[in-house]
Parts: sequence; C-alpha cells; structure tokens
Amino acid sequence: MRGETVERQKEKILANLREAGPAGAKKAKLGVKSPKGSAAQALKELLSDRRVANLGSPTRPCYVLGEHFNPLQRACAQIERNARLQKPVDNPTPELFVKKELEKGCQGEVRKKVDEALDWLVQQKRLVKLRRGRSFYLASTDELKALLTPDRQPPEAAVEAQPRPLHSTEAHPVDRLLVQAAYLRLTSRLGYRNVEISELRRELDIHMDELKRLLLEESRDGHAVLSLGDWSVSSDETRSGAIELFGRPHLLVRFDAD
Amino acid sequence: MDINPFESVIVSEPRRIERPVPGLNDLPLESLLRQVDKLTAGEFPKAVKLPGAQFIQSPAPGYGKSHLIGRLFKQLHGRATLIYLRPFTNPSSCWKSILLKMVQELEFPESAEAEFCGVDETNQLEALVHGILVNVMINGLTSGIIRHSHPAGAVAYFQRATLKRLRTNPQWVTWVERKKAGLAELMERQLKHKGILLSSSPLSWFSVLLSYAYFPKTYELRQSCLDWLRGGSIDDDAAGRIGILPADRPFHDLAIDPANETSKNRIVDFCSLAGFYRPFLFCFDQTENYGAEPSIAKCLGMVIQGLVDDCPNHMTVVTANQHPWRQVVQPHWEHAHVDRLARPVLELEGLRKEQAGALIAIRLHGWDPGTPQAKKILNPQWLEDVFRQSREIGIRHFLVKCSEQWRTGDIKPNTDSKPSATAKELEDTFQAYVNKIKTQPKRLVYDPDALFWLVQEVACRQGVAFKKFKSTRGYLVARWDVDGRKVYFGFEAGHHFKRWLAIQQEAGRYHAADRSSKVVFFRTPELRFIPGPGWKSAHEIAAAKRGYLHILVLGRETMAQLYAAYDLYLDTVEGNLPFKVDQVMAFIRSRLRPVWDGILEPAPEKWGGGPPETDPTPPDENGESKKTLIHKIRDIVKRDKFLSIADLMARLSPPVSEEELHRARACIAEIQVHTSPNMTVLQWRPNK
Repeated sequence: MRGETVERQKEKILANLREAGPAGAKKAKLGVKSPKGSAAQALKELLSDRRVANLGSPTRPCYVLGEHFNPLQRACAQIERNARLQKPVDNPTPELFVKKELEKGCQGEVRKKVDEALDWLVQQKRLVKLRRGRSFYLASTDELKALLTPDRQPPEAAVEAQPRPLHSTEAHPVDRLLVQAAYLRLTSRLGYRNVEISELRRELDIHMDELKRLLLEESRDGHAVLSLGDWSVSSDETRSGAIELFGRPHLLVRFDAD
Repeated sequence: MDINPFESVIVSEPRRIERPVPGLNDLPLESLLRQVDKLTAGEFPKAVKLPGAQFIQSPAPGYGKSHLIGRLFKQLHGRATLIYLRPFTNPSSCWKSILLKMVQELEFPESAEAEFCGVDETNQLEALVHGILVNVMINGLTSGIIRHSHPAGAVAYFQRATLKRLRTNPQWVTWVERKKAGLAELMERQLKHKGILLSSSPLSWFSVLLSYAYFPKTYELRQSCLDWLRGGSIDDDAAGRIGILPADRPFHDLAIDPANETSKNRIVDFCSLAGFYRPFLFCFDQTENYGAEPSIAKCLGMVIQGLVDDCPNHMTVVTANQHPWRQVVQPHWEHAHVDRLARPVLELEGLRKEQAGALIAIRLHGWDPGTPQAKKILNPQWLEDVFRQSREIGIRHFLVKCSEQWRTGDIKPNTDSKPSATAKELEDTFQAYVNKIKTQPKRLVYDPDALFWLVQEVACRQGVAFKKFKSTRGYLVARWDVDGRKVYFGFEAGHHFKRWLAIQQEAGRYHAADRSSKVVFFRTPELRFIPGPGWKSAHEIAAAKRGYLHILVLGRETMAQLYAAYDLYLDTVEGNLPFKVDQVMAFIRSRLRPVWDGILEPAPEKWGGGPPETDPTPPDENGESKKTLIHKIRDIVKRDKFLSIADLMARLSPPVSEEELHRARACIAEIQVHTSPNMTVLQWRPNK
C-alpha cells in the first residue's frame, strides 16, 4: 500500500512540475508537507532517479523537471541580463562590471555555475575581461567594438541597411555563436540533440535562407551534422527548413561539443 | 556468383547481425548495459525495478536501431533473457500478443547467435527454469531449510550443474517431483521476503516449468505447458497431469478483456520469477507502426507504463525514428506514459569516414579484395568524395552508396533522387522478402498480429470490406462486408476442446442469423489440428466446418507470402524502402488475391479443411538425423564458401525439403544467408 501511495505522489509531483515549467516550484507547491510523509519519499526517489532536480539550495529549494535542470545556461542568461548584453548597443560609453554585480539574481545551483558562465561568455567573446591593478572588470564586447569601430551606425539600422553576410569571415563567428546558443536552448528544452532546422530558425528569428547557408557551411566544415528526418510525416513548416545534401532534403541538425 | 556484399541494408533478425563498426553508437549501448548492471546486482531472488524504459531515438531510418538491439543481445548473452517484440496490431489483445511473442522468443536458443536450437541445445525458457530451480535449491541449502549432510558441497554442485546433467539424473528428477510442493512453498517464501506475490500459485508455476524443462520428450504435455504459459486454457486432464491447480486453469470461455488481463499477469509473474535467475530484456522495435491508429499508439503507452510500473527484473527498450515518434505516436500518449521513458534520450549517430572504412572491411570479409568491384570500393578517393559534404552519414545511406559503387563504379556522389519505384521493383522486393521469410523457420509460426493486420489493413477491397466488430462472446473480432455477404474473423492459437466448442456455437449463431455468412479462423502448420482426435465435440465441429466454420490452414508457401507482405509493409512504414505506403498496400492487395479468393469462397466443399500439410513433430524425435544434416550442411558450405540453396539441396543425400534444410541451417551461426528475388545463397562467414 505504501508503495502505491508513493507512486501516486510521484505522479502528482511530476504533474505540478510540468505545470510549473522552467520556473520550477517549491516544496509546498509540490504537496510535500511532512519530511517523513509519502510525498517526501516520492520526491526523494524522483531526485535520486534524476527525473526531478533542485536548482536552488538545500535550504531554499527550487525543484524542476530533469529536462529543465540547466544551471549553466541560467547563469549565462542572468549574467547577460545583468550586463545588458541582450539589449541593443545605444550607449557610446562601455560600462564596466565586477563579478558581484553580474551574479546578482543567481542562487543555489545557478550561483555555483557563475564562474564557469563568466569563463564561457569571455571565451565566446560576449564579454571582455579587463584588468586594473589586482582588480578585474568585465565589459560587453559589442559595446567595446561599437566604441572602436569608426562610422558606427546603430546596429538595428545597420541590419536594415545591409543584411549581414552570415557566411562572410567577419560576421560568421558571431552568428555561429548565436545559432549555437539557440541550439543549446532548444536541446535543453526538447531533451534530444537532433533538432528541426525550422524550429531552430523560429528560436533565432532570422531569415531561413541565412540559417541554411550557415548550417550547410557548418556541415561542410564538420561542425554540424545534418540528418534526413522523415519528410512523409513532417509539416509544411518543418519541410521549410529542408537543406539539400546528397540531393535529398535534410530536416534536422545536430551540433556536437567541440 | 553475382552477390553484392553491400546489398543487405535492413536488419530483420537481431540475432543475426554482422560484426559492429568500432566506436559506432557505443555510448547508447554502454548506457543500456549500465542499466542492466543495476538489475543484476544483489542476491537471489532480486526484485529490482528500473525507473523507466530506455528510449533510443534515431534521426532518420537506417541509423542502426535493430543493429543496436542485436549488439545488446550479443552483449547480454547469458546475462538476460532476450525478447524481441514486433508491433502488435490489436489494442484489445495487446498483452496477449506480447505474451505469445514472449513465449515464442523464449524458445529461441540460449546461445543468442543461431535462430534455431540444435539437437540437445538449451533454449531460453529451459535456461530460465534451470536457473530458478537451482537458485531456490541453493537458497534453501544455504539457509538450512533444505537439510543436507554436506550443504556447502551441495551448493557447489548446484552452482556447477547444467540442465542436461540434472534432467538426465533420474534420482534427482524423482526427488524434485516428490518434493515439488515443498520446493514451490520455499520459492513462494523467498519471493514474499522480497515483497513479491505471484498471480498464479507458485505450485502451478513450479509444476509447469518443471514439466516443460525436465520432460522434453513428452510432446503433448510440453505443448500444454506452452499453452498455459501463453495464458491459454488447457484440458483438465493435461492440467491435472502437469500439476496445475484448478484455480490456475484459465476458463476456456474467457472473453477478450479477461484473457488480456491473464496474459499481463503471466508476464508480471515471469518477470517476478526472473529474480531467481537473470532479468528479461524486452525490445520494442519498428514502433512507427504503432502510429497507424491513435488507439494503437495510446495502447503502446499503456503497455510501457504497465511494464515499468508492475514488472520487476526487466529492462524495456523502445526504439523509434524521431519524426514519426514525435508526430504520430507520442502525441497520443498521456503524460504518465511519457514519464515512463527514461531520460536522457539515447540518440543514434551516423558513420564517420574512418568508421565507414571499417564497415567496408567488415562487409568485404570473405571476399577477394582483388576483384574490380572490391577495388572500386577500396579506392580511398571514393570514400573521400562521399564524405566531402558531411562528416557523418547514416549507415544505410552509406551502404546504398557502396552497393551502387559495387554495381556501377560511379564514383560521383549520387544525387539519390530516385525515380518512383516501378511495379517490377516492388515485385522483386516482395519476392526477396518471401525468400527471406522462408529462411527463418522461427518466423513461420502463428502470428496473430500479422494476420489481424491482413484482415484489417489490407482487406480484399480498400475501405469497403473491413468493419470493426466484436461478437457477443468475443471470439469473433473482425468482419468483412463484401457484396452483401458477411465474413467474420477470429484468432485462436489454442487447442482446448471446450473453447473450440464455444467458438463453433458462436459461429453457428451468427450463421443462423444470416445464412450467407461464414466465420474464418486461421491456423498454421505447427498448431494442432481442429478438432482434436479424441474430442467429444469433434463431430459437431466437423459438421460446422462443412457449413459455416472455415478453419483455414495456411500452407508454408502462403504463410511466407503473408508474412513477407507484413514485413514489406512494416519496413515501408519505417522508411526503410523507397516505396510509398499506399503503393505497397495496393500491391499486396492485388498480389494476395488468391488468399482473398480462398477466404471469400462460399462453397464449404472447396475450403479444404483436412489435416495440415505436415504434422507437428516432437522436436527431439528425429534428433540424430537433424544432427547429421547440420554436420553435412556445415561441411559443404564451409568448403564451398558460397552456395545457392538449390545447389546445396542437390548435394544432400538423402534428399531433404527446403524447410528441413533451413531448420538445420539456422542452427549454424557461421552461415550468412543472402536473399534476392530469384535465389537464396549461403555464405560461410566464421568471423562475421
């Protein structure tokens, strides 16, 4: 009987977490009241099976489904928000940040990933690390670039005036990173690595032809793998992402960690 | 002899796979093996449940799903009981269908390499029985419940004992028979200690398993044991002789739902008993076919949930192609079903250039590398060209390229834009499938899923004939309405006289209501003849067969055609063939016209209905002649390396039928079979 109760509690917890989505939920919302009750036992088993994970700390937990457990990505996103990397460059003077300012809002498991996230963003050239004496500061690469590039136009206007050549050597690295970041978000959400090209385009909100050119080039360079998928059961939207390779339409793409 | 070593691009039997390419899809395999390790740790009896079914996803057809199952089978040889499950087609009898296939698979050889048991070779079911009995004994001796003057020595004896050694020891067999009740009680106690209760009484289970494994030559009794294991009803007389308690004898008149429930209970019990030996591995392959109807897709979800929640000591593996799974199967699942799939998803990958080179070497093993065709394939520039556009290619896609290169030598990367397949191509492919089925004796048995599919999906006329139907007692489950006549269908593999009497009576009622109607039941040669010779109701059933009850005994040639049609359809749906599903359906409908004509035939005198073309023979009765035949085949093929079936048959003396030849050939793991529309060729490949 006890086993059945735990199983039922597992169902409830999973249903609550599905409803909560990536935001997750606290113990109370999951119906875990007593630490010795069947709900607590169910939660413990789900955590041990990795179907549920705690993004928060032991004292301030925030539970999510396994598929939403992505502390590094969350840390990156929070840092980008704090550094206003996702906003258009409209201020001519680049702003310097210290780590404490950038990690604001990161808690529990996400906070543990702040150092890794900063390294990643620096490595990906989203942030620049600057040193003065013993102190380190971080700044947005785009802001610095904008400052150092003569005849600078506001980026949105530049895009309108002249579409960026995704395959050109200069613009390519940046766009590739954007695509990879969108790909990571998608795979984290879906739980598998071969994603539909059309879905990746939706995530990026860029022109399909630009994405296709980039992916084909990435495939030839060995950075991405295109797969056929199944044309017969695919929607028109999925088919719109088809890239011809060996004369056949490939609907899926996979990036591997280098 | 014109054989293309790259022609074979579909794995139809996971026990017959070629040597794997090093490094290809090792990660998913390792992940699966880690899960099995969890099931095999600890003391007997084990009662371990994995949190979910393992889900293997392929980005497109032809990335090696069935091959991975084959590799898993090889790796788990001796560590798990291996069950390969093709799709079921009728949701209301899903568990019945799974149990039937499970018992068929349990009769596969323990070696996991050949498809058929050689003489004296142990099958999986016998191995399971032996494992259960030995570990119950060892536990009893270790705990002191079974008293022995030298318990340590006795334990050591049982740890080393083989089934053959025990069952040929008359003293031991007599002792076990005498102590059966006590041993069953001991087994029950050991299971209870782990929180496991069997649905049927332990004594009935013990009696059935013992009769099956220890008395292989009592053919009728062994068949009755199999009937009971399949959840079917058996005669009281046979049940009494085996030792099945009255409460555990399924009622002969079970409706379809309780029969399905009984089958599920039997599967749960099998898994519980597996705690005394080794876990089960259930592999659900070709899952695109569950997308044929929402009810079937949903039923698969329910089955996976049932296995994960209720069955200990097993691992379920589900393979799928990504798009069909996400578009037509999973959308019909409830959240609770999806939650039963373990995460992360195990994804398959394609071949890289160096792996492609290794695959070529594997396929060319046994071929002369100096031939012009081999040289074309071995040309490094060709491989370089193939991989110029992508660092990774699907395995089947690459094999197709190799096959083209072998045939034509066209070194330009082919555009693959195939013209629509012609009727001739379809006919040739079908004929190759027929030839392949004939080489797989284990497939030529009663398969209700294939037969139900034929009646439902490819009924003689598209969209007109088939009507969903369920008779009052549930024996008739489908109906055709053709030209104002009704043809009812039922599917029954059992041989219980009361059940067949009830079937005859129900068929009679429907016939009485509409004199132009008839009732069709399929039977296959390995099943016993209806009515049985000693049945009291034989006269009534025989009379019904002369009026309205058409028991259609399928010959082996017809079975090969029907099952080949089913395989052709499954592979088309899975995306393995360059044909459209509608095109294949229309072809099958027209190709099987003689079968439809036979089913629709109104005149009972033209139904046949005599005994089957061959009587099922006890497996070990002609053991010596089979052993000799195996030796002869092995010697000839080993010497000749390549040989057509026709040539081999011409060289065997005394002459044997093609069926006998394949039954013997299937025991030899080193022989690889190549089938084409016109011929079947055997190749000696000791290290394939």
